[in-house]
Amino acid sequence: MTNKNSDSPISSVALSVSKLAYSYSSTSRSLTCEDWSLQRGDKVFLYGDSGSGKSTLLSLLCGIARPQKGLIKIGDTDLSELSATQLDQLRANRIGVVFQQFNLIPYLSVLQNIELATYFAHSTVDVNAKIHAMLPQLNLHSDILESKVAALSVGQKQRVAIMRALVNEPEILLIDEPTSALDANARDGFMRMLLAISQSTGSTMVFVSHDGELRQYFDKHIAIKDICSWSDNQEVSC
Amino acid sequence: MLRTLAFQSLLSRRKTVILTYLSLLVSISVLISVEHLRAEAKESFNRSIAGTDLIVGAPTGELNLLLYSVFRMGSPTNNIQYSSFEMLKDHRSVAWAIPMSLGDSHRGYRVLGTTNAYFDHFSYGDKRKLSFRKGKELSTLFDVVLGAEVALELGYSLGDNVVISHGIGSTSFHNHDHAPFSIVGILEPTGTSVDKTVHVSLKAIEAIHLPPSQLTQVLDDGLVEYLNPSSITSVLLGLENKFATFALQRQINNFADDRLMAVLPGVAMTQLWQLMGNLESLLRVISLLVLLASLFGLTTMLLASMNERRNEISVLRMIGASPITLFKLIVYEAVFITLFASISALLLVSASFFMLSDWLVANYGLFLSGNILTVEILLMFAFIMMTVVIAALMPAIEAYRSGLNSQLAN
Repeated sequence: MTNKNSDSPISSVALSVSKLAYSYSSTSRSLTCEDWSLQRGDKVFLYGDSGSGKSTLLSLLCGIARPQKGLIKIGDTDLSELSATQLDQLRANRIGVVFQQFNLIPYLSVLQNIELATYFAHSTVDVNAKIHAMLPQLNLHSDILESKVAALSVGQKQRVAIMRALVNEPEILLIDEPTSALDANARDGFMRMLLAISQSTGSTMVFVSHDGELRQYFDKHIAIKDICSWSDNQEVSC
Repeated sequence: MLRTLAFQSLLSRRKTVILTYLSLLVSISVLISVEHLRAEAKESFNRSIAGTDLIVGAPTGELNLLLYSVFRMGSPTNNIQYSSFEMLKDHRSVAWAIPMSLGDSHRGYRVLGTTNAYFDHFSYGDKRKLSFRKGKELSTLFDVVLGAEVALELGYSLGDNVVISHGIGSTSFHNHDHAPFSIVGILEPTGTSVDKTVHVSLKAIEAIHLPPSQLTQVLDDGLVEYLNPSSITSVLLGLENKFATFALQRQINNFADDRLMAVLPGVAMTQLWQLMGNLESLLRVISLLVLLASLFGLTTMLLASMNERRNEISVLRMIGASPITLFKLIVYEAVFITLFASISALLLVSASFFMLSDWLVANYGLFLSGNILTVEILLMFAFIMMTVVIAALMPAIEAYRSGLNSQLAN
């Protein structure tokens, strides 16, 4: 298993993609991506229209989908060299993900949702201390920890999802369209809070959205159409 | 954590889970009830006779001799001479001999003509002797001693009169009204056929079959002591030395002056259980099929839940759950439901047997323990758990595959 700290001091590259090609087995379409990389601590806005390949790229970056060609590296770790179990551990330890629908487990409490992430990561950190340190940063009260997720508001679910993604102090934070259900004011508050807390953890963030207005919050912007493209050829080439 | 996740997941689907739980509860209850009944009935039958080394009767099937001599079931095909009983009683290898004369009844309960040797030597269970709840042994001609159930069911007490009928049906057109008996003793319950037996002396059996005028003459002339039967149904023998059993059995079977047959109770009991074996197997198969149907229900419920849980499985996968973890999660869920159903079934069946114990004794003479936690039942639970894990394999593999195929886009 790749140790979380093993490559941290060695390289300043947090994430790199090289000659990537991926095709779904059920369709003849394939996604190909050019070489690109992110430095540690980068906060990148990855934007593109629906169907442009954003979610597929995120699946590839966190090792859920395996590319047919090319390399994806988290730090110095080549994902293609990892077994399925090692990929699971990498995802649990080194990658945090926030989904569009937040995707918390509805029948568990807030605390249990967060503990689940630390359980899969075999984390030895003091989870309670970590959670209680994050609560004020996310403008949440400790009472919420025992609440069932189903009873939370959209805003609360959003912040709990961020807490779950960050509790294991991941190197990479992948965030997929988290503001689609928010109005302009709420969106602004959420973005400021997200950037502040991810700044404090030092995670490299890939923020994916089709909403171009969100680019104002980021120094680095990548249009997905500039790095990835769909091809109708079943034969993938880079 | 995984167990909490499995438990909470089940709670979140409580309607389908409760139905599956009830289905398993019923099937497991049936399975352990059948197993417990089978084991206890066997124990109950086995405890009907103890310490008797040989049963001697007229040549017939070994099982038939056992059934009518010990369980009061069926009818003897023939009698043996009373002189044969006397020969056996006086045999040097014989410690005691109990004569038995069957053929009459009282309101559906079998009448047994015997001697007081019956109360002194007959044992049951772990060689327990008969004991009197009230009264004493037979002393005069028309004394009768009742089994516990006879007294209880018919509401008799000491001193009440009892009229014996000819034949063994519950309704008889030939009552020995001219010779009523007086109850002198009531036995403690034994959980055996003794409880359902009306005991009188051999001389009394002879007396009631005399014409009324002849009986009156016998009584008036004081000739009771000469009322010896010419034949009896069977004899129970206890031997001085158990090693002599087979030799004596051979001697009895070759006895020239009467046609006799001696059987070992244990051997005949084994024959009985071999005969019952098919019925036992049938009951087991039926209850296993009921369990199988419930396990299919469990598999169906878990499989059906896979569709609605596709998103949940994707989320678990994204935060680091391995396919093996998802596999374990589904197996945990199946084991939890079955564990709860098994514990509930155990309590339900124990409580049922505990509450029905008096009724079962009264109606079927079955002494069933409410404690069903035997090694066999525990092994059965282990078997159920193993089959549940197998039943959970299909949905667990589905979860494993679903987890592997999960995508962020889901």
